[in-house]
Amino acid sequence: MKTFRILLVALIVVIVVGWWYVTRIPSSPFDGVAQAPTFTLEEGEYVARAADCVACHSTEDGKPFAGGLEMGTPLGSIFATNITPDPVHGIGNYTLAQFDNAVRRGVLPDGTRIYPAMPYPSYAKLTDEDVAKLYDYFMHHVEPVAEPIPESDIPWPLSIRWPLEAWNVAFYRSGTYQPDPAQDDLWNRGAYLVQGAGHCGSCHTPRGFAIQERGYDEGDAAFLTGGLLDGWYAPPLRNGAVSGLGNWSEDEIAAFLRTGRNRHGVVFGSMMEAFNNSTAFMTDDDLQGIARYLASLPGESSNWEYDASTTDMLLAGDFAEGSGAEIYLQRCSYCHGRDGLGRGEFLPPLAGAASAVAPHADSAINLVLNGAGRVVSGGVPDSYRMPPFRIPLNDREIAEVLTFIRSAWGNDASAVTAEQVADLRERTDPMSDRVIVLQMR
Amino acid sequence: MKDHVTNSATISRRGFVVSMLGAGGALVIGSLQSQAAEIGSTPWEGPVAEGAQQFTPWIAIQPDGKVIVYVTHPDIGNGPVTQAVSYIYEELAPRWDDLQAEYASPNRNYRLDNVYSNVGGPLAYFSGRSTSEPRRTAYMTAAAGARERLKAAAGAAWGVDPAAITVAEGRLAHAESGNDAPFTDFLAAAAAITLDPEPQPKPREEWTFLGKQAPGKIQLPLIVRGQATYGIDVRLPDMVYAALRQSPVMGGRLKSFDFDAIRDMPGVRAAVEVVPNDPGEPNKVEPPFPFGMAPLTSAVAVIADHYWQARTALDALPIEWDDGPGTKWADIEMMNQAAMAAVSGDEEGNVLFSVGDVEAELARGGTVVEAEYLTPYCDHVNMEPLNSTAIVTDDRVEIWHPGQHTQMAWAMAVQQTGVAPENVEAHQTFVGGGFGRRVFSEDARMGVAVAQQYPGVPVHTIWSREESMRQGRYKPLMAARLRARLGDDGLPTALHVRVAGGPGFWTLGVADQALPLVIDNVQVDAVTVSDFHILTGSYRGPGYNSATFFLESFVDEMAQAAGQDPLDYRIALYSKWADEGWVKVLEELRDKSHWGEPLPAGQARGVAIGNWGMGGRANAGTTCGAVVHAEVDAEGRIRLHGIDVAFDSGRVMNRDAVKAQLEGGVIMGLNMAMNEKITVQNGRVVEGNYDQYPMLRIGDIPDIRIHFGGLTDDDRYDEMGEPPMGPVGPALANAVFAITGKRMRTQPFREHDLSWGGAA
Amino acid sequence: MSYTLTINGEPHEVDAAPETPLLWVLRDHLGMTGTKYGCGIAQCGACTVHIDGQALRSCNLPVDAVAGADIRTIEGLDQDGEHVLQKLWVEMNVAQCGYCQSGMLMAAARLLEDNPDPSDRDIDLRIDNICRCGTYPRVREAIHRAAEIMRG
Ligand code: FES
Ligand code: FES
Repeated sequence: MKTFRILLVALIVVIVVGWWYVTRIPSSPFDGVAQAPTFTLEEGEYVARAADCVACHSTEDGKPFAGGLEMGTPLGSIFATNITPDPVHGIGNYTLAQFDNAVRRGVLPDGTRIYPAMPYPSYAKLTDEDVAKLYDYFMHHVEPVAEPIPESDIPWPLSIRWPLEAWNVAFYRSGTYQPDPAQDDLWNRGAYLVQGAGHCGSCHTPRGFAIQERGYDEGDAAFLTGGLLDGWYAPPLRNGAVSGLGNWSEDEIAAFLRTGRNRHGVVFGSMMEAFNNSTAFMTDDDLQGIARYLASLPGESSNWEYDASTTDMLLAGDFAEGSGAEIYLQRCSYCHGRDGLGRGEFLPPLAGAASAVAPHADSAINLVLNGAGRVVSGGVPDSYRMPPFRIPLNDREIAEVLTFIRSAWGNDASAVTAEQVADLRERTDPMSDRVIVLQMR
Repeated sequence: MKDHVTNSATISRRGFVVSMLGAGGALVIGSLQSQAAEIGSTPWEGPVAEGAQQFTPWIAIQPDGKVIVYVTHPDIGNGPVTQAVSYIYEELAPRWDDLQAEYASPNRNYRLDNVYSNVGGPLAYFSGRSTSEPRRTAYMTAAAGARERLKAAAGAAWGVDPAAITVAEGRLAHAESGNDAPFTDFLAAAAAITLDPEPQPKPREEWTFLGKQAPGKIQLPLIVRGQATYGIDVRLPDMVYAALRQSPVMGGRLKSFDFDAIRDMPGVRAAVEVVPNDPGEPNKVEPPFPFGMAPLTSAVAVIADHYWQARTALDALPIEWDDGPGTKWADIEMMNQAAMAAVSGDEEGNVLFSVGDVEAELARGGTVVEAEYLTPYCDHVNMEPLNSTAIVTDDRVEIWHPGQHTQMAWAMAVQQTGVAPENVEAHQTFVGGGFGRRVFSEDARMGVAVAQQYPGVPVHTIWSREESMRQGRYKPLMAARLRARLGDDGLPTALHVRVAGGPGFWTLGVADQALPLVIDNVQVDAVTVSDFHILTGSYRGPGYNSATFFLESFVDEMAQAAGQDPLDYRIALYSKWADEGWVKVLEELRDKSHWGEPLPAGQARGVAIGNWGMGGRANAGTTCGAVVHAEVDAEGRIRLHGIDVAFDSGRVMNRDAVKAQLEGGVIMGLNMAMNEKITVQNGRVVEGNYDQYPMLRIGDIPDIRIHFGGLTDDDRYDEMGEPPMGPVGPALANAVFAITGKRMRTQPFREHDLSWGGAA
Repeated sequence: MSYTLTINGEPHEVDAAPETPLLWVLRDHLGMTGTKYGCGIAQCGACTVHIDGQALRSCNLPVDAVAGADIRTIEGLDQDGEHVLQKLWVEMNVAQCGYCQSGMLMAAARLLEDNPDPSDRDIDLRIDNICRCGTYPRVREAIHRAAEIMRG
């Protein structure tokens, strides 16, 4: 009986302490700060751009930061929150410390844990100053929008959030970015942006069984080695392999982030959105820093070499009826060239292009099916969009043309099957009931 | 501005105007050679050569021997200009190469009291059909008058009987005396001659050229050198370019735009708003065709030095729209369902035709066939995107427009600006495809509305392909429900057809065809779904292009239910119709298409027939039938092996032109049935370019064989462009059914899964 | 940016933003309107020109990428209409509205230069242009006839 009582007390203690732990409000360096510091509009906006808050906290037709974007979790859909300063539906009543806990620690003022669809494990690296700038921006420079967001459709008990703390215990690492004294300032600035606000790993780092990123900085071998997400394959951002940034100089990386294109390629898919909303607005110094940092990440070596025999074969018309080469000639070659080299910066090459040799063909399939959106540079949408081929080409044809491209001009990537195309065709069709719901950004 | 013809014209308005024209005195408008090249201060009063003779407002002969023909119907690719000069050639016999066409000016038409449009209808392609009797008579009478004057003048000069003078190759000759001289020697003398009575045109039996020879289009040499000036090619001094965006949801209104965001972009000059006109505005000039004046839509345009700059800036321009009620249509499925609900419901709608007692007959039981069909919105996708060019000042308007209806475009410019009609000129340019899209001329009006806000300079407004496609005047979405009871012989004893579509949808081609006219108990009615906001218009063979799909697919369904061969069934059915052309066409098809001969597994022939323009009458319009030989592979893809076409338009004037039109119509009819579909999301049109609106290409086109054996030689020359739009689609659907057992009741066919396991 | 373009053998100076498509440089800056705008996304072929001996679509070629190239347009096919294709096009009444035909002719001319005896399939592959009027059967016929004539 006594043992039972001890056990019971112990259990109660565990529950109480546990409950306290999983619902506790973490401490913030801003605890007790009554008067949050103020900044200029530009200062705060810049951090918001770098962190690309708008990508998730807005819908295509909605007001900026009013939330509502549907995001998938393994349990069901949730909706990005309204982060305008509206006191009822938004974050108008947040203190700086509460705001900080949400952004860097994933905890709401009432102790509710935020789903890690919000990249707070990356934002954890933000400096105090950047957090304060963000807060000032949202409180004073964003229009309040009195609009509620839809209720999550995750049913009880799965909708209980406190178990998320277990996820935090396992994967979340606290602490702001610590500069590496062995590296120069530019490198450190780049590392800070990539790991922190830029949350590049959300897409470019592979995820583990609990959808956690398998690495949050260069110390992890898997960091930025490429990931599959939302029907896109985000290529490795490491040096080395052709499928990564192996052929790209630092200047080319910076130019890509500044103008959305360089001679190797053009942004598309989720990266186009990241560019349009975020990197296009960053300063040259910051972009150069990102380039310096990414170019320093080691990768596998590349042995790709251009092979002109494909071009000769296309010119000679030496291929079977209905083959991938034939489809390429008719549908693709007017822009990408029979030589696969594209044209300058506007029409990207396919020979040796990261997108054409990636281990996963998802991005290429997605792009051929659905085309690319328009890259907006300097407020001006560009003119060279890739058209969608969803209607003109069937699954087999898309598989064949991609298989051709992935093995042409020295490219050496796996074949694409009609089943892969069929699957993505369905999952990217807004009318389908299997449509991809965005998970992370 | 006074012109030399006006006075004479008042003397004899419809008769002869023969006058000596000094430099600057003639009215040469919209030259096919170079409309845009020479623009003066009064550009539509440009000079004809010194010493030219104008024989009526229809032709002028110049001292260099060129014969200018004033053509009243724009050539949209079908050859009416060539037809007009052919009439002149038949009567006047100039050198073929000396014939030169100019478009008749709507401004001149107005000032000369409708000198052109009183004969054979407005200055428009469709209603002023080049082969229509009054128009042909006008051209031929004018040419015969010129010829007889020249002969009289030469006869007087040579002292011989004019009746013994012959004309050929632009020369007059008198065999006996050996006299021989070009027309140009007698121009002045001929102008002074009065004939009483004016000669009649040659009767058909005496034609040596018309119907015997088949000249190609006279503008081809310009086209193949890239020198034909289409509307989009008009280049004027100091011209600026405008890129246009209209409310993405039809019926919506512009709320605001932020010009400051693009003010500093290269070449940008202005952004202007087009404000919709009042719905009840009075007509400022009589509309030349009973459509009424097309309204303006709410729009914004960016004006820049170059089109590319204008378009780039327009893309960067922040614009806010008030979308209006159209957004209630979340997707096209909702609209499809609304149309289907309208045909399957009990609302009778508007009864178009009724005979006997359908319901009683249907209730007798036996074999009753029933089916529902649906056709989507389709865009014309003329290869030349919409455009128009205008200069507007306080008291003068001039426009250049690739229209199907020059006079309507002119009227639109008057309506939009309120400038006096005599000070408004519309130049007809080459047209990069019509197909019905360029009839209403709302595009001309939009161009004028933009130019109005940037006055004094020529403004060239271009709809991008995306804008053209999303702001169409589409072939309407239509649903149909058909029910029939078959008698003991398998033929229908009762037929009920109910069709539905949005406001103003076309019912042409449903009740006026042979099918409802050969059955004892029939009712055809139409229900309007009044809240469809998508604007529709006339798409090649309007109404008929969907109706034939409904009727002729259904005839196949009846033949199948009766267990009869589809072609024999049609012959039995349509032999009850008073116009023998139907059976003649079917028999020609049976003989020429190898109907009934066995085909490999996976292949079959399908047949269908319809008539464009009969309007419920026998011996009217053009009956057109098609047999499509198709294959469906195991993957479900359609391959076409050949198409046989037979038709009855009464007679034909230019065999090769007829063949070309029928070929083109077959291909467009195929594309419409197989590929085309405009859809809607949240009220907005989704498709914006060919990537989402697939088109057949050269490799998709089978052998198309046009057979002339269906012609009845009935005394009419009927139309050619529209007729194939009806039967081709259902003939293909019927073939596909024969192969796969799958009945395609909706278009486009590409949406059907036709995989069938292959030719096992 | 200022560019010198070699078009139909003649140098032309133009001042245009680098990304301006060649199509619009030809049409607006140089007034060479024979090359047509149909889609702007390399799908229809109305804007086909020859660039260094390849038939390409000028609506999707930034002027920056063709500076220094040898450019040939419909105006350079034969000004007098004496090219065998032009003559046959007239003789065989190929064009309807004619709008797509500059592109058709440029694609066909290049095909015959590369292949003096094209099969139907060669034509299918290389004449990928859209013609809304449906002139395809005549285009095919005329190319075959031209090939015969050119082979002598
Ligand atoms: S305009 Fe260039 S391909 Fe259509
Ligand atoms: S001839 Fe009209 S589009 Fe080809």
